[in-house]
Amino acid sequence: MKRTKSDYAVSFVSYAFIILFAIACLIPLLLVLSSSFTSQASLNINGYRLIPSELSLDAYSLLFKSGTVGPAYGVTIFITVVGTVLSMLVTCACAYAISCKSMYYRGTVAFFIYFTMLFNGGLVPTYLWVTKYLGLSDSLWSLILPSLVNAWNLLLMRNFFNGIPDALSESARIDGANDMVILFKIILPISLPGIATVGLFYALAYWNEWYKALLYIHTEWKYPLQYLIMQIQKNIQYVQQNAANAGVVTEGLVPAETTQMATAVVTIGPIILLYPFLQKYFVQGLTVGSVKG
Amino acid sequence: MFGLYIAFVDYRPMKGIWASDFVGIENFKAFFATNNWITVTGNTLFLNALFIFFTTLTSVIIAILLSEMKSKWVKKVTQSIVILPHFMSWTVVSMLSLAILSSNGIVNQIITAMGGQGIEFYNTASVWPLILVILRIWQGAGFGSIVYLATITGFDSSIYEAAAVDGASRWQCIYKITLPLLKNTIIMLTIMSVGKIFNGDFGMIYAMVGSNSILYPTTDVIDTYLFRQLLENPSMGQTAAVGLVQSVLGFCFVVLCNKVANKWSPESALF
Amino acid sequence: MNKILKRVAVSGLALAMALPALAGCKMSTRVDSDTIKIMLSGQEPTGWDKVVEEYNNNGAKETGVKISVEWVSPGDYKEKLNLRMIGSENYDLVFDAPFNKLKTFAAYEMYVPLEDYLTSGEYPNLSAAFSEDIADANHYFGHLYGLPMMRTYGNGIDCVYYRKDLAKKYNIGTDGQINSYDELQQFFECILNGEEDAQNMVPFGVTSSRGFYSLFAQDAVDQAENHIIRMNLGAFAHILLNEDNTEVVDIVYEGEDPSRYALFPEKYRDGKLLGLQRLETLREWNKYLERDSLNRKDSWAMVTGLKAAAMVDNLDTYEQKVVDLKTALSDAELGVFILKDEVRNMEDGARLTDLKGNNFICIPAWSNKIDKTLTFLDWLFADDENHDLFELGIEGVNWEAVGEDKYETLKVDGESYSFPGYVLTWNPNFVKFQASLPEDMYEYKKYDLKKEAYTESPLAGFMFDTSNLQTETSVVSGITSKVSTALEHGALEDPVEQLRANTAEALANGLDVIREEAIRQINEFLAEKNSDK
Repeated sequence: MKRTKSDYAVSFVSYAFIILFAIACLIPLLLVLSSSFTSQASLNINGYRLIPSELSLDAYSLLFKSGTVGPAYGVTIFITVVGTVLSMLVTCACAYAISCKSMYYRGTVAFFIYFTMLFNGGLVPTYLWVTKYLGLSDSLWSLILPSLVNAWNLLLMRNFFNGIPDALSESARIDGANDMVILFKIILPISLPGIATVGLFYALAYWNEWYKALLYIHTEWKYPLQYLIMQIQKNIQYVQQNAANAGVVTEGLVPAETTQMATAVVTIGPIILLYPFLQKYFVQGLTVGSVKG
Repeated sequence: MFGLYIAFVDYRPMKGIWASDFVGIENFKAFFATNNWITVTGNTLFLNALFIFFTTLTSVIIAILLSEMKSKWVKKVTQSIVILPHFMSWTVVSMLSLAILSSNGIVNQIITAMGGQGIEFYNTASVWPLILVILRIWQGAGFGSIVYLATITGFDSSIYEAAAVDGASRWQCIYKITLPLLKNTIIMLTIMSVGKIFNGDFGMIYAMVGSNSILYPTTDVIDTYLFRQLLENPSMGQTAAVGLVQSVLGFCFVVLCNKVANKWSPESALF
Repeated sequence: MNKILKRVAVSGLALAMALPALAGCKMSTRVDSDTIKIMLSGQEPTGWDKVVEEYNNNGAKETGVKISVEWVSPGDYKEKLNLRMIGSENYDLVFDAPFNKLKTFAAYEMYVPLEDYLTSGEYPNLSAAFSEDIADANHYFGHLYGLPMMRTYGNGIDCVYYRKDLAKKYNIGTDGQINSYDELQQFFECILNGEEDAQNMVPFGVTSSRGFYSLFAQDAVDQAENHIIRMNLGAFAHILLNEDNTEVVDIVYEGEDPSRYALFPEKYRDGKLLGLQRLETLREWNKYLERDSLNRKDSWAMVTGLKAAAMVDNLDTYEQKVVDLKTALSDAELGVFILKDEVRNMEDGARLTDLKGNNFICIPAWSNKIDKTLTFLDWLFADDENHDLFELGIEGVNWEAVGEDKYETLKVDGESYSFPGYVLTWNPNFVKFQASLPEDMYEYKKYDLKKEAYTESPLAGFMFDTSNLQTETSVVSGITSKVSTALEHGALEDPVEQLRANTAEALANGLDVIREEAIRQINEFLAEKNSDK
C-alpha cells in the first residue's frame, strides 16, 4: 500500500495523542502505586511522589493480614466465572431474539428492557425481594442472580448482532438450521469482538462486586475480595478513634490513606494482568471471512 | 417496580408499603419548594450533557486512532493503560486532585513558575465544570473506547481493502468508512445515556466537592442537593419521589431522541 | 471457538452446582432458643472469640443466655442496620445511635420501649446502671427505645493541640504553654510570619466538615443561667425561657434581625454573644487556615505532615497524638490548650449537659427473647468483673488491674484487645483508666466523668419531633447547607450579612412554621415536666 504525506500525518497525530493520553492516565496510577508502598508518616510529610521516599509495606500487610483473603479470592473467582458464563448465555440468547427481524414486537421487548434501566423498585424493595421472596440472604447466589442480566450490556450485544448481515442466518435457515444452531454455530463465532466486550464488562462487574455483598452477605468467609478489602480499609480508618476510646495507643500513624491507595492497587492489579488475554479479540483485526461466504 | 409507590405514601416499615398512608404529592413538595431546584437541575443537565458529549467524542477518537495504529506493541500497551482510570474510586481521585489542584499544588506551582497568577481552584466555582469534564474524560473515555474499538474490529476488512485499491487516503478511510459505520453504535449508546441525564453523578461530585458550598453554584446536582436536604431527616418517600421525577424526565428525553433516531436512521434506534 | 465456549460453560455450571452444595454443609449453625443474636458496629477485637467463649462457658451458667455477636464495619453499619431492621430480621440486640437510624426507628416504633423494664425491679443491676434522670432524658418520641451507652455527660473536653516546640521557639505563653485565645493568636501570627510559612506550614489545620469547630464556642452555661438555650430547631436557634424555666418566651434563629432579641437580657440584645461575634472572629481568623480548608479531610494528618502547627479536637485522643507526633518528628512536642477557662481550672458546673447519650443499645420490636436479652444486660452491668470481661477482655490475659481504678493492657501476640465500649459497655458506674495516663490527663478524665462538673440544661430530655414537618425541615436544610459549612471556616466575606440573607430565605420557606411547632412542643414538654414535680 502506498502511503501519502497525509497518511504519515494521521499516523503521527494518532501516536502522539494516544501516547499523551496514556501518560495522563498512567501518572496518577503511578502516584497511587508509589504512595501505597510508603509509610503514612512519610506520605503526610512528602505528599504524593512518583518515587516513594521511604519504602514501607505497612498498607499491604494490614490488608492481607486477615486470614480470610484466601476464601475471598475463591468467592470472587467463583462469582466471576459462574456469573459471567450464566450472564453471557442469557444475554446472548435474549439479544439474538430481539435482533431477529422475524420476531414480532421486538421493538417493544427492547423498550421494556431499556425501561428497567430507568425505573426500578429502589433499594429497599429490591432488598426485601432478594432476601424474603427469593430467600437468597447470605447466599453466594445473591451476588450473581440480581445482576444476571444487565440491560445496557444486553442492548449492546443486540447492537453487535444487528451488525451481522441477515443473509448469513437466512442462508443457514434455508439449509435447515434452527435458531439454536444459527446462534451457536453462526452468529456467536463471528461476533467474537462483541462477545469479548460484553463478556469483559460482565466479568469486571462481577470481579468488582462489593455493594451486593454489603447488602446480602453476613458470613465473613463468603465475602468477595473487593468487599473484604474495603471492609479492612474502612476499619483501619476507625482504628485510631476506636483505640482512643478503648484506651489503647497504636504505635506509628494509622495508615489510613496508604491503605486506601493499596486498595486501589489491589483492585486494578488483576485487571492489568488479565486484560491482555482478552485484548486480542478487539485489538487485532479479525478475518471476517465467513461474512463473505 | 411497585416500589415507585413509596413516592406517594408516608412510608412506615412496620406497616409495609401498601398499608402506609397515601399522601399524594407531599413527598414532591420539598424538592420544588424553592428556586434551588432550577439551579441544580440546570447543573445536572449541563454537566451530564458535557460528560456525554466529551466522553463519547474522546472515546470514538481513541478507538479510531488505536485501530489506525500499526505497531501492535504500542497499541496493546496504551490500550491497557487508558482503561485503568475507570477502576479508580472517586475517593482516591479526590485525594490526588486535592494534592494536584490545591493552592500550593502542582498545577499552581507550574502556573506561578511560568509567571502566571495562581488559581485557587477550591474557591473558584467557575472552573469546576471544566475540571469535572476533564476528570470524566480521563476516567471514562478509555474504558468507553472498548465498545467502539470492538465495533470497528468487527467491520468487514474488505471494504478498507477496496478503498485502498481505489487510492483512498487514511483520513478518507476514517471519514468516509469508519465513522459512518460507527454511527449506529454511537447513536445507540448516546440514547442510552440520555436516559440518565437527570441523574447527577453523586459518587463523583460528592467525593470531589463534598461540603464545599463555595463550589455549589456550578457543581450542585439534583442528587447532592437531595442528599443535603435529607441529611438530618432521611425520608424514603422523598428520595423515591425525586428519583421518580428524574426517571420520568429522562424517559421522556429518551423517547424523544429515539423518535428522532427512528426517523433519521432506523438502524440506530433503541426500540 | 465453539468447543472452548462449551467447555467453559459446562465447567462453570458444574462449579456453580457444586459450590453451594459444599457451602450448605457449613451453613447449618442454627440459632438455638437460648442464644441471643447481637449486631454491633466496629471491628472485631483481637481475642474476641475467647471472651465470648469465656462468657458462654461461665457467665451463661448464671443467666441461661448465650450470645452470638455479628460485627459490622462502622462505615457500613448504618446501611446494614437499616435494611436488616426494615427486613425485620431476627436480631435481639442491636447498636444504634441518633447519627444512625435511632430517630427514624423510634418514630416507627421498631424498638422495644425499655422504661417499664427499668422500673419494674426485675433487673436491679440495669436500674442501678441507668439512673432515672438519664433514663428520662433519653426518651425518643415519649419512650426509652434504647439504653444509652455513656460514660460522661459531655462530649469530651474540647482543646487545641499545637506544636509546643514551636511555641517555645517564639516564646509564647509560659514556656510554650498556651492558656488563652490571645496567646493562641500570637502563636498563629508567629507561624504565619515565620520561617514555617516558607515551608508551607499554616498555623491552623481544620477539616472540611468541622471548620473551626469548638473554637470561640458560645458560653452555654452563662446563657442557661439567663434562661437561654441554644438548640438546632431546623437551624440553630436560641430559646428564651421565662424566669422559672416553665414556658417559652421566644425563639430566635441565629441570623435574624437583632430587633428580634428585644425580650432577651440586655447583654445579648445585639446578638454578638449569640453567635454573631463568633462569625466575625472566624472570618478574621480565616487567614490562619490553608486556602483549601473546605476540602481537607484530615487535619491531624496536616499536623503530623508538618503542614499545620495546630488543630482542634478533644482530650480523648491525647495519648495517641503524643505518639503520632513523635513518629512524625522526634523533636516535636505536643501542647494542649483547653479552650474553656472554667474547664481548664476544673470548676464545677462548667459545661451544660442535656444528659443525652450519643450511642444506644436497642432491642428490635419483634424479638421474642426480650427477657433473655435483658437478663444478659443485667448480668453485664452487675459488677466490675462481668463488665470488664467485655470492655477490657480476660483479666490476666488481656489486662491487669493497677490500683483502684486503673489497668494496664497486656498484649497477646503483639495485639491488644480493643473493644469499642460505646457500642455495649460504657457506663458512668464502670470506668477504669489506662495506667499509662500522665497525672494531669488522669485528673482531667476524672473531672470529665464527675456529674458535678456539669450544669443540667432546663431542656434536658426534650426531643424535637419533626416527623410532621418533613417537607419544611428538608427545604430548610437545603437552604442552610448553602452557607453553614463555609461560615464555620470563616470563608465568606461579610459573614453576618451572609447568615442574615440565608436565615431570611429559610424563614420564608418553612423555618417560621418550624418555630411555631418548636414553641408548641417545648411548652408541652415543660408543662409535663413541671406537673411531675
